Amino acid sequence: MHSTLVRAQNVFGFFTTVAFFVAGLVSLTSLLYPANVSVDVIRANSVKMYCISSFISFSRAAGLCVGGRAHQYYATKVQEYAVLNFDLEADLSSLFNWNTKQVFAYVSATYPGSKYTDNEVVIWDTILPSRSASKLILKNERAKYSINDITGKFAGRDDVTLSFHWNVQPHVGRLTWGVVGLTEGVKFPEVEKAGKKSAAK
Amino acid sequence: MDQIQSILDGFIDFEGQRLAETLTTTILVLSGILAFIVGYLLSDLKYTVYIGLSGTVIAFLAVVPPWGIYKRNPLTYLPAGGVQVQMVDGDAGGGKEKEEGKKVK
Repeated sequence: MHSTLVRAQNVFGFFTTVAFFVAGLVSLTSLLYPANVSVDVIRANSVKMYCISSFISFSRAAGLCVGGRAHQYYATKVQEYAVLNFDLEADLSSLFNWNTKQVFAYVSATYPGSKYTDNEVVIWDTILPSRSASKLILKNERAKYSINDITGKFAGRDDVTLSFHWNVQPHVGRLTWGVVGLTEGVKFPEVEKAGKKSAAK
Repeated sequence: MDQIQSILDGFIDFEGQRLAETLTTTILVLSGILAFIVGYLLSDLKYTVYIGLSGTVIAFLAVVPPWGIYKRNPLTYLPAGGVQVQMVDGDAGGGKEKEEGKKVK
């Protein structure tokens, strides 16, 4: 501690040590607030199927698909999409404490398949920035993201279930995840006939 | 030029160094504990950050400049005895110089 420079270095060095320990204590306090997320309602109301094919002439003639490209250039396969509407009531206020920066919440749909048996798709998500915004009440909310399957066709599959997930992002410490609520399974209906749509145009 | 150099160096004496060390540890640890408690009680991490940082600023202001309190016990060196040879305090100078010093005495 003889010269100014050495003293400045020592003070800063010890400051980093203290800051590290305080941050460690702060992250440990997250254990004092157990997560108690209540989901009152989670329910899929309606599922709409549509499909897109680049083989416009063929598929339109058959009345199967609307024309267009399934997000991929030069893709020739028929791609079906499903859009869900759902109800959700959840209370995430217990996740907010002094060490919570924000909470990421999302709804996923799980459905079976024959070749690929476990399928889970996120259909809706949101960021909750504060405790005042921690209660979710959604009535017949339209899914933000449509479902498309790796095989392209999945209409008619049964037992589609919704689940609600949350992810706490703290100021200091580790991320924590949780999942609640499984609805009764619903069914992916058959694809709406494209013929009606083009007639409406 | 020497004046500027001595301001930049900011040397303090041994007792002052002990005091500076103690002050650094005390101020930073206390501000860390206070920051944690206040932030926890008021349930806002903002207070923790601000109290911790202001404690650090106080520690810097208290310890880094060579305040007079750190210079109360200056070392008094023995007067230079010889014409050509400087007296060496302790063993730092090595044996040869020391012997030469004795001869001069």
